[in-house]
Amino acid sequence: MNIYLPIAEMSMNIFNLIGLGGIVGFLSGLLGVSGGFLLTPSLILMGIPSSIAVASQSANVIATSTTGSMTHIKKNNVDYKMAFIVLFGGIIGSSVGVWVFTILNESSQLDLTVKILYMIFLTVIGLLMFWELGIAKIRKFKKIVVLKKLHKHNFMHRLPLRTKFKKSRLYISSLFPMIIGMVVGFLSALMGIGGGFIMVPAMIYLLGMHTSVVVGTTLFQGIFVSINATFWQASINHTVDFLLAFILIIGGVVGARIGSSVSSKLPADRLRIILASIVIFVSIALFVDLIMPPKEIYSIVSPKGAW
Amino acid sequence: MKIFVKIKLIFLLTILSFNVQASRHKKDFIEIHSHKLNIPVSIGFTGNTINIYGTTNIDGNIVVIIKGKNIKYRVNKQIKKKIFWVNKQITEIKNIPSIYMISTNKYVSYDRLNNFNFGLNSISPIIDNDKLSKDEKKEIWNKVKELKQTKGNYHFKINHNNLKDINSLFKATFNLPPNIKIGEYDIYAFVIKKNGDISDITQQKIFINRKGIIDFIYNKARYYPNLYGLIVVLLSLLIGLVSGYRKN
Repeated sequence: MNIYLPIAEMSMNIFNLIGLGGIVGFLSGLLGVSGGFLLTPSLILMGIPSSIAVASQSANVIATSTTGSMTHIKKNNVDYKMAFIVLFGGIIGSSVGVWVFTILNESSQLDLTVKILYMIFLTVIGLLMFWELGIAKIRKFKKIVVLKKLHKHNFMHRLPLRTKFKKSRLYISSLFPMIIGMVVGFLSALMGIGGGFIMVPAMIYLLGMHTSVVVGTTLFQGIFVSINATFWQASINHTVDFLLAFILIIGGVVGARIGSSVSSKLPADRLRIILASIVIFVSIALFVDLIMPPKEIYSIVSPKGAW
Repeated sequence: MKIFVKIKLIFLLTILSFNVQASRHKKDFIEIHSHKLNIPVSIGFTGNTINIYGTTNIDGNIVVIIKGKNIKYRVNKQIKKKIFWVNKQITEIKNIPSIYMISTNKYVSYDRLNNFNFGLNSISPIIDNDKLSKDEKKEIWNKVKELKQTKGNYHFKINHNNLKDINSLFKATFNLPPNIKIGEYDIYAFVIKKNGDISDITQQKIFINRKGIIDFIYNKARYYPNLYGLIVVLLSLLIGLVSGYRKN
């Protein structure tokens, strides 16, 4: 059964879209990862134009971040002061990101940029996942216990605008979280992601935040960054296909519910290996797509969309 | 539903037959009726088939053409930079129809059609790029034609069985692709007589319109982008809240 996407101006099989949203939702429910980094490249590989895939995925991120952050708000796992400072940078970054997106789209370079960015990030994520799994296995095998330091003092502590973050038990410059927010916001707008896979390690390893508040804080600020990106994408580029986003959200919600309900029954380690393999596979697929000679050298684009 | 379509077809053919009767006194005539004047692009749209019914008392080659409005396109060329294939925008091409489909009942050469200002050879695309030579411009236009044919936007059915004629009645069938642009389309029909002249050209318009949720989303996104952005944000938030509430 096909469905006509009004902004993409193309017909797609609805079950493929629900299935894709469902699989990514299932993985996120199962492993607690946001699947945005898999969803956008998969949509592109399915033939949806990058501009539509990225912008529509931003709307999807609003829904998933809201759902995710509600649990953390309830458990009081959000550092609001940190979230608002990161958000300040995120708003600037995502606004600049939408502007760059527009320039790249008009010069027909968006597709290439998005694919290259995803290829790089997915390769890094996939390899890091394998690395982490390998290290954990070795430690488990050798029975090594690692005692973590709270955090190291580094250049951030010498920067101006130092602020106390009671919830995170930090006394650091506000500039650094703001810069992290800016970078992640920029990539969110350009890649249609929540940015958790960059923000979470940055908060843990660079800022030294306690892991219990990192996910909640990231998801909370992610709601507003994706709201900003979605609004500007819709307003400036007219590339948000809500019907596409809605189908993905529905598939994602159902998939996430199934994933979280079976998560305790399945072996987490093996699932993480599967996820890491999928991530590497998508990255390779994008790489092949970029290096293989195209079937047709020429292409035509109507400035107002459609043919 | 099929019964309604059949009744509609019988009705159309009856009208055409009456026209035949009424026009017997006329010297030469050709008339057409589309079985659909408005084609809705709704949520399940995957393209559409349109039948043009017609009648004529002229002996010769019947030609039916569907033509979309002239629009402009950006032409990109993939070039290899190091290991990656990169898009390069080479020019804009203007004044070319979004759709151009021809159906005839007997063979007619493109040059012949061109003589009557019809056919793809009669289109004069405008390529405003001084850096391109005449040959390069010609190559680009040929590539664009090829691409449009691949996507089902340009179609020739010369001497094809999609145009059937029985006595004075004829039917031409066109498959409109799923990527068709919204708007007004012109249908032309004429007969190339045995002596090489053409009959009067009869013309009809059909309209491709968005319907229902497709129309709502498209119009809001194009013409009220701020409002649309706000609606998308609020609905996404609402879905997230409902889903999170149920989860908790």
